Amino acid sequence: MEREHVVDVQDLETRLGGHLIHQHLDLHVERGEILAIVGGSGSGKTVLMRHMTLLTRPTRGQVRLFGQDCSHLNARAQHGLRRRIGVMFQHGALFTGMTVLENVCFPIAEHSRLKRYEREELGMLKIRLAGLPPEAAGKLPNELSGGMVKRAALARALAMDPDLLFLDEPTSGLDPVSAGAFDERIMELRQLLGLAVVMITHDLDTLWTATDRVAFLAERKVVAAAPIAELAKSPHPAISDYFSGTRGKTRRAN
Amino acid sequence: MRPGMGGTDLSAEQAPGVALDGTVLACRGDWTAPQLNGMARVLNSLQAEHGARWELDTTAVSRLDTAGALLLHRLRQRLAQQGAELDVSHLSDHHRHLLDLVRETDSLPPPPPRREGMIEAVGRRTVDTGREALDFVAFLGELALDFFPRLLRPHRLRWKQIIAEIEIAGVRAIPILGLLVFLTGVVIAYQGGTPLERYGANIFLVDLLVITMLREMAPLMTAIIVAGRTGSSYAAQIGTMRITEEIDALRVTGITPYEMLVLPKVVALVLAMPLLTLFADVVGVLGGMVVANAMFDVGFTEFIQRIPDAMAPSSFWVGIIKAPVFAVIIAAVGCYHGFSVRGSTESVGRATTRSVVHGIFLVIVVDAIFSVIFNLLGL
Repeated sequence: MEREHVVDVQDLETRLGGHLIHQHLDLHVERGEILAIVGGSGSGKTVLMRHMTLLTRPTRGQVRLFGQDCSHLNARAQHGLRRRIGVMFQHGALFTGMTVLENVCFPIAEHSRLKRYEREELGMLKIRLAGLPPEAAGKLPNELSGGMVKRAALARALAMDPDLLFLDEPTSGLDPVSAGAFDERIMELRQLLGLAVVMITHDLDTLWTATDRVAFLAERKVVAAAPIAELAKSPHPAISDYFSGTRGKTRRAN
Repeated sequence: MRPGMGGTDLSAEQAPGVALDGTVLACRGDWTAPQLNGMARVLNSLQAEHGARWELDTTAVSRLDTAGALLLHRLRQRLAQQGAELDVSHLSDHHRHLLDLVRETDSLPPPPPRREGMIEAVGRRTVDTGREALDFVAFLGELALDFFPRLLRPHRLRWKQIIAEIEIAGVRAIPILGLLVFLTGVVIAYQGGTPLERYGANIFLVDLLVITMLREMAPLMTAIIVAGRTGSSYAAQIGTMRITEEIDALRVTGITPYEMLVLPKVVALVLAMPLLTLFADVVGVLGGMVVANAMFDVGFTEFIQRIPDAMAPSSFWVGIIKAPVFAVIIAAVGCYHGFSVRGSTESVGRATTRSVVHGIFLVIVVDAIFSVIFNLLGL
């Protein structure tokens, strides 16, 4: 039985400032899977994610979220869709004037009419869920370490119980132990909440341990999307270059 | 797998509901955050007798998220306190997992910060203001220590940067400054001309205009416009550089941020402001001249011939000499507030506002002090 696609990108084309970034790009994400998008720097990973999170529109082609075509959405439908996706930005993008708890409660206040106290209880739940200690709730973003910023950003992305979670380089800048813990947390949450996760990452450990499939972006399209073990054996020159560096080799040997 | 998660039923949102039938607590509809307003009250109104045992039934719940699970968990806690029990053993695996998850991660929000009383607030403000004033003086001291040795070797200054700053702060301010000062001249001529005309003393309009414009209005208007345009941009620029750690990057390169950022700005403004003031003098008097000619029968030639009799040359110098002092104040205040930025982007906005307010405030205070000094000197 084929699983339902929560994201479906078809024949996508993007031009930015006269440059062709994507052409004939196809990609889908199945419900409940963790998909990683990899590719060299400048291969258009972040741009692709911005299309999927409804921040930008492709020049041509279609992005479907939960079966809905996103190119002709009215404001209301878009608002409804946004509630079902959570986005964690590369540098956290926490609102600097608010505490962690206020950051997490912000989307909840926007999308529900719960009372302040209920919102805060729910916010605390998400903070704990993201693996932060309760004391972190009252802190301002500039008082947090890099790892805590990532977790706080994850808590905010989880605020509305999204069905689909986007992570932009979730483990970059973390020490290996924290990065490993973060990966485990993501897998646990997928298990518990049944979410689909799309992440951009360069972390080979994450790729090998935490992903169901990996989509490789090169030559302006997804050249392959397969489980990592399969992908690493691919004869495609861009892919074999990517995985045959010393780092790639050591990781595969383990 | 999570029920009701597919895309097709997105529009079919059902209001959540709950009903107690005997000992079965049956929930239905969407138990998700956007739908649950008021549900806490409904659940709180449910009262159980001591020793009662209710069974939770969520088979009719189309969607359950952590917000819904949290409400059910709270109900369960409250019932337990009252000696009753909510049995969750018949839930679907997914729903029970969610409840377990909520139970494991539940923790109360931190207490809101204590609100301070009025006396405490006044005290805190006073101490903060005093401390800031001290800080500013310390900043000026550091600047002076850093500057004087460098000023002794002017060829080592960053002239390229200074010239760029002069263009931004000086040349580009000319249009707006010219327009505003011209209009100020027009206004002064109108207001002053009417009473003078009544006594047939139209020609004294020249004295009034030239003296107010050269001694006070032109330097002050220039300072206010430069504080608003340039002082604020200094604060914003340095403040942002602090947040992005560019200042620290400068430091580790071995360049003091004073040398790279503050000194060129101060030098540029000290050079540009007297020139701007001179320009404002000319345009302001011109504005008055136009009105004097059109409304009060004082022709252009007559006006210009009268100027040497109307004022001593010192009036001109009194105005010009203030300009570099104002320039130092504005540049120092702008940079000081930029360096005072800590952490958040919000504080950049605050620093920018304060740099303008404090800059203009200090300029006017110093202007008043100048007036007293010049008066004592008989200028």
